[in-house]
Amino acid sequence: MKRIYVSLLLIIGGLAACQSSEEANTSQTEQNTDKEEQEKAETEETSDVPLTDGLGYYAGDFEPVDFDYEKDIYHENKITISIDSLNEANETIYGHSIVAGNKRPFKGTYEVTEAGYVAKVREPGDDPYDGVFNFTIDLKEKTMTGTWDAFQQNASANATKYTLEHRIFIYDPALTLPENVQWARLYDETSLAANLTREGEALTEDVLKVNPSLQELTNKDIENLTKGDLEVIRNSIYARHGYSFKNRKMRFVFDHIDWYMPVSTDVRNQLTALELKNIDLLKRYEQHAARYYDSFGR
Amino acid sequence: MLLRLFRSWSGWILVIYAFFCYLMWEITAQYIPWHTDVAFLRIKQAYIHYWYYETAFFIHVYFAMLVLPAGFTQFSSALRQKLPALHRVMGWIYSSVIILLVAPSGFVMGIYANGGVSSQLAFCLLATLWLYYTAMAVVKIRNGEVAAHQRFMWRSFALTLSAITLRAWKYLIVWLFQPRPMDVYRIVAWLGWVLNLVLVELYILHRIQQKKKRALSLHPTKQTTL
Repeated sequence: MKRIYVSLLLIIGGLAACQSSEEANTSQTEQNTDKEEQEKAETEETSDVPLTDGLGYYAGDFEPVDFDYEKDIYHENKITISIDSLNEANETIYGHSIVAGNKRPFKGTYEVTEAGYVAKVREPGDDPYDGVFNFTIDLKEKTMTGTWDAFQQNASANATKYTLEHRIFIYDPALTLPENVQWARLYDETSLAANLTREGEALTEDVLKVNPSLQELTNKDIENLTKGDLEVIRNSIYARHGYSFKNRKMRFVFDHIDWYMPVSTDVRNQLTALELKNIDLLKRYEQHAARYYDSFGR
Repeated sequence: MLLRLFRSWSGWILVIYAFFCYLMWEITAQYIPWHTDVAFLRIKQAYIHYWYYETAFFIHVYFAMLVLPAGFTQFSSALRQKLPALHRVMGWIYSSVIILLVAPSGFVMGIYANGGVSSQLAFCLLATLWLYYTAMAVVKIRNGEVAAHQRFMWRSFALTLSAITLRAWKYLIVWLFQPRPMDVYRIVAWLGWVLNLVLVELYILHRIQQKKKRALSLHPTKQTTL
C-alpha cells in the first residue's frame, strides 16, 4: 500500500486522478463519521483526558526507513490511519489508512498491554503498495507509533516508521495557508535536478491573498497571479476537506502545513457551491497560464 | 520569383511579416466558427455573454485578418504603378474593414479589457486613433492629396501592426523577465502600439527633412513648403 515517494510515472497518471472516482457510499459513510467526530470534538479536543478506546484518526508523517537524500528531496508523506472498529471478544481490529491519494483497508489482531494497544494488521495485498503495519496505540499520550513493511519489495517504498497523533478532522473553511508557503518552491515532477538544486517554480506572497473557501473570487482577484500560486490556492480547497493528494507537487506543499490531514480520496461531494464556483474560475486561469503565458498571443 | 524575395532586405521583411500573419491566423482559427470558451475567452467568461461584447469579439475575429494582406501590396511603389487597380481594391478592403468593423469592435472590447483602467484606456485610444488615421487617409486620397494620404496610411498601418508587435513584446518580456501575467499585459497594452506610432512619426519627419534637402539642392534659392 504505502508509497512514500511514488515513481514519476505513477504520479503523471495520478495527476488526472484528482478527480478519480470512488464509490459514492464510501464517502457517504465517511461523511457521517466526520459529523459524529465533529460533535465529539467539541468536548474532547482541548482536554488532556486520555482516550477511552483506540478509535479514530491518527495523523502524521510516514517516513521511509532507508532514504537516499542524494537522489530526491521528497521523502515523507502525510498519512492518516483510522481505527474504525475493535472487536474485544476476539481482539480483532479494523481500519484503513490514507496516504498519497491511496486509501487501503486493513484488519488484524491486537492485545491490550501496559503500553497500550499493540496491533499487527495487514492490508489486502492486491495493491503493489500493500503491506503489514505494526503499531502501538498509547491511550494516555494519544499517539500511534509503529512501522510498516511492504509485502513486495518496491523500488520506492519498502519500510517506513511513524509516530502519529490522535486527531479529529473538522472541515474549517477559515483555515488559511501559513505565511511560509510564499517562500516555497513547487516540486518539479519533470526534473529531479531542479528539485535537488532548488531551482523549481517558486510561489509568491500572492498565494496568501485569497481564501477560495470563504470568499467568492472575481477575475480581478486572480488575474495577476502566476500559475503556481493559482494551483496552490485552488488545491487549498481540497486540502481543507482533507483530500489526500495523488499529485506529488501538491503533497509537497500541503504535507508541510500543520492543519492539513488527509482523510479522504474523494471530496467532490463535500465541496460547497462557493468552492465549486471558485475552482472553475481558478482552473480557467491556470489553464490559460499554462497554455498562453509564454506564447505569442494575449 | 520566390527566391528573389531573399535578395533584398524588404524581401526579408515580407517573409517575416508573412510568418507573423500565419501566427495571427493560428490565433484567429481557434475561435472559428463560434467558440466562446477557448483561448483568450477562457478568462473572459464574465463578459463574453453580453451580446455586444460577443458581437464585437466575433466581428473582430472574423474581419481583423482581412487587414493584414494590405501589408504585402500597398507599400510597394512598383506594384502601385503597375497595378493601380489592385492598390485601390486592397485599399478599399483595408479602409472599410477598419472603419466600419474592426476599429469599432476593438473599441467595445477595449472597454472591457483585462488589466483595469490603464489597459482599457490604451486599447480604446488605440481603436480611436486607428479609425481616425484610416479615415483621414481615405479623405486625403479623395481630395487628391497623395502625400498626406501616404502619411496617414503609414500611421494607420503602424497601429495595424500593433496586433503583431503587442504579442511579440509580450513573448519577449515574458521570456526575459517572467513577470506576473497582468503586469505584462498592462505594459504591452501601451508598448504594443505607442512605440510603433513614435517610429512612424520619426520616419515621416525624416522623409520631410529629406524632401526639404532635395528641394533645396534642386532650387537653392527657393523656399519649399510641404
